[in-house]
Amino acid sequence: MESQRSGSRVPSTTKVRRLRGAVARLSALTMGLVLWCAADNSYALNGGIRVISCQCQTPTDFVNNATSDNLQYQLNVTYTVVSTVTAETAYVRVSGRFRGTTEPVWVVGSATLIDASGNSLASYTAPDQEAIFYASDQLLFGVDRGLPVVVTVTGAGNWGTKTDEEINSLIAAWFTQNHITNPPSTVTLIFRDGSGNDLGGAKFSYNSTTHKYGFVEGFDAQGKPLDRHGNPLGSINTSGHGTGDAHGNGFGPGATTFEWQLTGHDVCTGVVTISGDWGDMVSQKTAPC
Amino acid sequence: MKTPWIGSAAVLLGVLLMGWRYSSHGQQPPPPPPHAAIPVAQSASFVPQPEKRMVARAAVAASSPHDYRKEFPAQQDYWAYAQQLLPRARAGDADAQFYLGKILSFCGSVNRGFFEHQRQKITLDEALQLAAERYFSLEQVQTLYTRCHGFQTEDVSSWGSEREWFNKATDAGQPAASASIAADILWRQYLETYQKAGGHPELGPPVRPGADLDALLLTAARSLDPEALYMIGKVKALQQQMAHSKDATEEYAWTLVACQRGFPCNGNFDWITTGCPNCNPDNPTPENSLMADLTNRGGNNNWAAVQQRAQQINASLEAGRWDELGLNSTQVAGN
Repeated sequence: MESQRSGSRVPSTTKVRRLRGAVARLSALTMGLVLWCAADNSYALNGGIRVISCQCQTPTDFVNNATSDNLQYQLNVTYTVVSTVTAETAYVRVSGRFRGTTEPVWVVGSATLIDASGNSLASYTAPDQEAIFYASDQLLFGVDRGLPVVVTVTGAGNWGTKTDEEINSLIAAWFTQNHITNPPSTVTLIFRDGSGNDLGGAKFSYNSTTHKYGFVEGFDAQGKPLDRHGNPLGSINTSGHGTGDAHGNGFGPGATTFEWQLTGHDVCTGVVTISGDWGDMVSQKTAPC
Repeated sequence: MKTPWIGSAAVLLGVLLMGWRYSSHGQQPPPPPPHAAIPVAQSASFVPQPEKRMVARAAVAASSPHDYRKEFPAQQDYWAYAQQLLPRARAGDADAQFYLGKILSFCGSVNRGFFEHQRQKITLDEALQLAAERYFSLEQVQTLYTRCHGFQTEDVSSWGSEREWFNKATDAGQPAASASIAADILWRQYLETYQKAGGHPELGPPVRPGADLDALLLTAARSLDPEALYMIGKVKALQQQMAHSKDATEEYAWTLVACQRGFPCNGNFDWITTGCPNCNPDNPTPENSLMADLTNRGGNNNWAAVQQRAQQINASLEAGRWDELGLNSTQVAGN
């Protein structure tokens, strides 16, 4: 999914356009450096992120909204586009440049759907793209917006020291206590020590053929990514700038409101706030930035 | 709706226990006679060349002197039974390979889930104490101990893994193994989606490099083997999950077809008491039990649609109209 927007033009004042031209060049340089760095940590989303929301339902909707925003934003960035009508989030890499000398205008050259490693999703079918958007949404918010289930585990270390079966046992016991008979597709476990300190969390997804949850993502108390064994995974934040926010509702029982805010430079921090039937959760996550 | 002992204890056991795709039937009356060999032979003319080879092997496998669909449900001690299966499996008996893989999968998970704590083996008394704290059925834990304890005390590392046995059985065209491998492939693809989204799931080695998911499912469907048809229902559930659809019609329709053709969907079979939280073992018919499960699931799913789809599937299976089964994948490739 790629769109060419060479005909889109937005006038700019001389001072602003000089500044923006410089920022664009710097941003492109930064993006290049960060992409180079990303070869090690696999986070191609580092180096300039803008979060927007839209009433997007199809891959084309996500691309069009990112493109439309970029005509005003006028920087080469990767968009995190959060849908407010379905539990999907897409990453769209948008690049453009100022064209003309006397009255430069920002022209969007391309807008490409990418995965979290920066690979183009252009060759994927729309259902496959949407499956990735759905997974991206869960990883961004830390829960399934269709049915956010957050289980707090206290005083037992984090998931890194536990087998899959022990994790499943914890989940199962929680289901029993909460009278849940239909396992939700994803469960987020938040771990706390005996003093209530945050030890991070992990998300597990349900395998309906084995009736067992499997690990898909972990993060520490600062929101930095951890693997299945609780070990750090690369440096998510190198340099760059992240702005934007998304607000939306959940899409099922138990989900009421979601907020995602990304701010910062060098260290970008996202704060996810969830209010729902399963209880409120405020979770800090260090996002690609 | 539910018997008192089942309810939430069932779901937590179901969540904890893996392997009810390789459903263990427990000590129950034997299911109806297998349907596999005759329909496969009748439908051979519809089968593409690579599949013909698998079907021919399936026919050979079906001629095994052992009727595993009767033999397996009668077992109390899977360790003892596995010792009988091992030489047969090594001798190339595809059904023995499948059931051995199924037991290794099930008991591995049971022992890690119930009879280990913080990665250390624990005694039955300790396991029962832990189970009580977690609201598990103590009776069920005792049963699981009987079934799988031998695997905890003996070294079976030289036996080969469950995946190896499933793949060998699949090589020989064993239909339930084919469907189980298809489910494993699909789950791996599901995890890969999370990887593309920035997650870090543990993918493990490829399930069956070069495998054709559609062909595996077709092998399973053509066999008319109830266990294989049940597994197709599980594959459908996973596909539904991957598309984040709430419509469970396909999953339940295939499961209903499996029930109608002899897969146990009521009674105290292990897969019902552990893997089907809303099924009622006391329901007089398998259909009623499955309907109760669907109804308790909520959402917009309706039983009439499931029945209608099951009717279509049955008609297509009987007529050998394989292309009408909806088994061609559009969103999955490779493994």
